[in-house]
Amino acid sequence: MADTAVTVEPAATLRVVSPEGPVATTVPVELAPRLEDLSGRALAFLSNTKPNIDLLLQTYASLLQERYGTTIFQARKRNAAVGAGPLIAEVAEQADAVVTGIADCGACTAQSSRDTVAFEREGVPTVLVTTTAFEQLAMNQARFAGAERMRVIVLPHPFESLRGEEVVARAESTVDRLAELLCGDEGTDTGNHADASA
Amino acid sequence: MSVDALETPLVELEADEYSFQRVALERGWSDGLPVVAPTQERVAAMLATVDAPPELSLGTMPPGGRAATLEAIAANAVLAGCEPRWFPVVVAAVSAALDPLFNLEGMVPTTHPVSTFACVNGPAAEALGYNGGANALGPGNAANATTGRALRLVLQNIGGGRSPNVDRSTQGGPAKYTYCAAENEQASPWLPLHAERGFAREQSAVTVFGGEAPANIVDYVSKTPEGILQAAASTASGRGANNCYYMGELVLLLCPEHTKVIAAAGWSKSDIRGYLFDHARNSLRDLKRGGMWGMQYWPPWFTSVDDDHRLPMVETSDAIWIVVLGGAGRQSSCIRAWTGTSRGVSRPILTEGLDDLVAPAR
Repeated sequence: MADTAVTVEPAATLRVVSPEGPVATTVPVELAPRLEDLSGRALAFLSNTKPNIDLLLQTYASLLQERYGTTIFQARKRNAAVGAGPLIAEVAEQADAVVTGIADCGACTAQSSRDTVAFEREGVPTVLVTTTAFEQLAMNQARFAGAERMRVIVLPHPFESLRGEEVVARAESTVDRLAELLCGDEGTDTGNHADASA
Repeated sequence: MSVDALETPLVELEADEYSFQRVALERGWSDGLPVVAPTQERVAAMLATVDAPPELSLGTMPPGGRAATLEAIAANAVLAGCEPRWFPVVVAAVSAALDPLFNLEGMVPTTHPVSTFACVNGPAAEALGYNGGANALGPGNAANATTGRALRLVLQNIGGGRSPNVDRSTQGGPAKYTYCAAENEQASPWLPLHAERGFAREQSAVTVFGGEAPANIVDYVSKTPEGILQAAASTASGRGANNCYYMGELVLLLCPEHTKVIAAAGWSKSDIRGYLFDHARNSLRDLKRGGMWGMQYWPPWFTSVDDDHRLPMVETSDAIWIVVLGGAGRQSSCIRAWTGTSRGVSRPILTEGLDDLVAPAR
């Protein structure tokens, strides 16, 4: 028996039209300037109404208000599977910074990432709350929307099944990070997580 | 967004037709089944069926944002194995999917197994060889199989909606390979789908709808519309379907023999809608038992009822479409929606005047 592997040599060169189509140039988005500090700032908390996010955002809000004297207001999207639409301009007008979420499933991650990039485009520093299972999707969606960096807090997945006290504990353990992100230039590079074709 | 380079890139590969399968899979261009290499000659043959420049873009395709140019769509039609004459149908379907009402941004990354059903109506259906009769949604008809496949490949390759990074479908599903059929207009005593949606009968059209694979409705016994439709109502309103909590539209695929029983009793499509709106329901008590309870997006009046009240799984009866489909036998089915954030969209099948197919701004 022959023990050499048989390889099929390509008989020709194929030239094909790429089925991916031309790249549409997205106007790149820079991260909005960071807040100097949180003292007395107006913070908006934009919920997409998914389970537990309202409690998380409310807990962040009271903690930040307690510690920094921030004024807070809450806003809610009508549906997690669509973009915030006119809410972006409305909230951006009133807020110094935004915290939004939750990006813990497919459609809601895509839309909340786009919302986050839209706020940054308006010059409002914004933090997206996502989970470990959907961080990658959040990043590549942000990249598709033109952002090279995005401010995110990544919670363990799953989030929606947590009990109330666990949600509060998550908020307490990550609120300092939230404050750091709003007052820092960090943001995560969206490119490291992008799909190869992006 | 501006589209700088509308020219679709050419890619040189060290491959032949056989090894192209592996290359296409590695590049993320394939669905796992064999594909046809989109050489310039084959792409040109597709483009020759429409009177429009190859660089015409129907719109930037979410979520990846690349331009859905006719040339790029043609490359996917070749990949899928389409004959050139089906290209205008693919183009119309892509145009429909790009409508903001369809909500590709939300639909493509979802964990739901949503697939894009494409229904072909009008004279082109028969003229181009689409099947709306026996086994219409099954294998064996190249027009159905490759048109549906081309649409999926466009969403994947131009839109970037590929698994596992962007398409986050938890389990996936067979309808994601291809999901296209013609309506069996000959077997229908009623207005065909496209005519109901505002087209002249003679204007061929494609309608796309984002939903599950079909759920079966078998009835070999009933001699009345109610007998058949109560089974349809039960299947449609199953609490595992997103409709119950997220609203959305519903497509009833009625087989010719069920159609006959219902029409013989003097029922119109409107009567079917009325019946289903009334009967495809779950009590608030049952809806609270689990499922998506707690995450629902309901019209405000839903919460004004008591626990015994039965709530519909569509917002209004207009959200129910009826398509006659299939051959002999008494097996109908229904397509339950992904969510109410996406609406079905129709476009005319055109070979000229394709500017009309360019998507409205998002």
